[in-house]
Amino acid sequence: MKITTLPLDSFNSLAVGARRYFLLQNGDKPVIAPSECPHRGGPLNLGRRKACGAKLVCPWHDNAYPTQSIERGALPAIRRCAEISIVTGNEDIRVWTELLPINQGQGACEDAA
Amino acid sequence: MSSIDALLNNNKNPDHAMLEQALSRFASHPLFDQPDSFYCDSPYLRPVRPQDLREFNFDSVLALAELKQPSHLMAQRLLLNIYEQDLIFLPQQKKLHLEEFNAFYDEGLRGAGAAIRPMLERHVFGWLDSEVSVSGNWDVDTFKGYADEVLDRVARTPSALLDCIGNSRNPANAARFFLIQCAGDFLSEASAMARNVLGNFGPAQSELFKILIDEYGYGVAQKKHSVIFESLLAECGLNPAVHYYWQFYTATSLALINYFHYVSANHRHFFRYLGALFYTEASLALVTRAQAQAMRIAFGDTVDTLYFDEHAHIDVHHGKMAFEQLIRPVVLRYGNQVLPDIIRGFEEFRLLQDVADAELFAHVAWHDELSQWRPGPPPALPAGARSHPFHECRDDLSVTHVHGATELFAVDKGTLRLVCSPFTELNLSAGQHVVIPQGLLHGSVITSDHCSYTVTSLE
Repeated sequence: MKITTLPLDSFNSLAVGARRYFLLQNGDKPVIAPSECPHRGGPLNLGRRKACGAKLVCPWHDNAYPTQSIERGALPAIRRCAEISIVTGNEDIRVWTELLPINQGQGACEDAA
Repeated sequence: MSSIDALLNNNKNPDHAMLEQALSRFASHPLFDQPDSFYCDSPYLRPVRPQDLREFNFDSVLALAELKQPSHLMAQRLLLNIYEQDLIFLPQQKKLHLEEFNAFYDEGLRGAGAAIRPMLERHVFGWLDSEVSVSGNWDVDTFKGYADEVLDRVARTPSALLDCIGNSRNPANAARFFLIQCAGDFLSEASAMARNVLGNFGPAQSELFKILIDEYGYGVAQKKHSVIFESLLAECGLNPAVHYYWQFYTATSLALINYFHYVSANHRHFFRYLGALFYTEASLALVTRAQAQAMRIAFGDTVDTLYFDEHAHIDVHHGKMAFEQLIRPVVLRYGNQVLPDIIRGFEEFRLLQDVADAELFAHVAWHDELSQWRPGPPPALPAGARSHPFHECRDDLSVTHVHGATELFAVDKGTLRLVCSPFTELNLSAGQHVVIPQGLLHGSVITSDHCSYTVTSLE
């Protein structure tokens, strides 16, 4: 088991071994969510928000997933002030930053339009 | 708008007005009002400076960066008074004043305290909601792995307390100030824990009870942890009476005591309590060796460090018991749904401990600085600096407090004694000044027939 502690502003994507995750901004509770859509493996990290942020929509087939159910597959993590500690197996971890539309304009609700 | 202004101007929200009345009633009670000394000779006299109520709005939630604000100190003092109305205190050295006893436990006062408690808890602990969060798919072994790593880091990190005391200009007084910060908790040690042993929650209840009876010395007074701590205080030249040094507790030391009451008084937070208990028991097993060493540096090798040695031993068991006999069975029985709160309690108490340590070290550093104080020219004032003049008479005492900004404290006429700890006092006369950093405890008493002084913000 490995604990990795990172500044929250230092990354928004990571790979643990072969699996990819992204930092899902969820109010005060950031979630290290799996990037792979459970349907056909689409890039959930490139999806959009629905129902005022309560659901994520996969860009491939428009399947919408409640944030709560995404969190069930998320890596165990604890945020303490401006840092987050992530618990993983002993696989290699890579982190990077990319443009994630899903974390842009969280206040806007697609359903409200 | 201050709490009192809100009361005076409130003609719309009767609930809010009632809350403000309860706040004023509780804080202004004679037991908590103006004392005639910096030291509390009775366990029921616990000054909170009610004259400052007008300046504070307890409806707001303080941020982590705002914990040096004076409303934090006042709210923590008020909360400890409220929580401790549930505990029994009787003076051990002095005579019992039955009227004080009756007043402290008065039903009306308890009612007022109960009414304002949630607002105060939100004011001082609400920030934890935004600074600590738990997410993802945890199970009990993942948590154990995380906790082991955190505790291993605690074990490997050199003791900052040892550095602070060892490097102080006066290690004995630095150690005494540290012991005073502990005294608020250790002299009624595990009282919050006792709130959690009633009811019926199966085998885990009996495991918690075992920890409690260790803390309480198995019914043998000399073995009780608080009694062992009283002996240490006396040996180090301190008064072991409960809350004798009430005015010298920092806000974040009070927060450590109050957090355990907070998560224990309302059993909705029981799982947070379990996490916090685990962190404190497991980490104490690691840090008490350094605390014992700090006592030897301060007071010599002959000082009896039994209090810390006892914890270095028994808390190894308590840490293991808290996890293996309490947390693991509770999670197995009630599912991973209870884990986020357990982990949150673990992490919240760890953060509170770090914040309290930093505040203690800042106080010791300032006390060291003041020990070198010499009269000198005043610093340049920022443009538009706001000043407040005060005119007081002989023996007028200003209960210890903190300022939300760094301030210049200058005596214009007469003399006074500035009291920053029981061992750090400055006698100032007309024309002399001192800079009081933001958030550091101090009080004053006038030593001439009349005295005028001015406090000017340097920010």
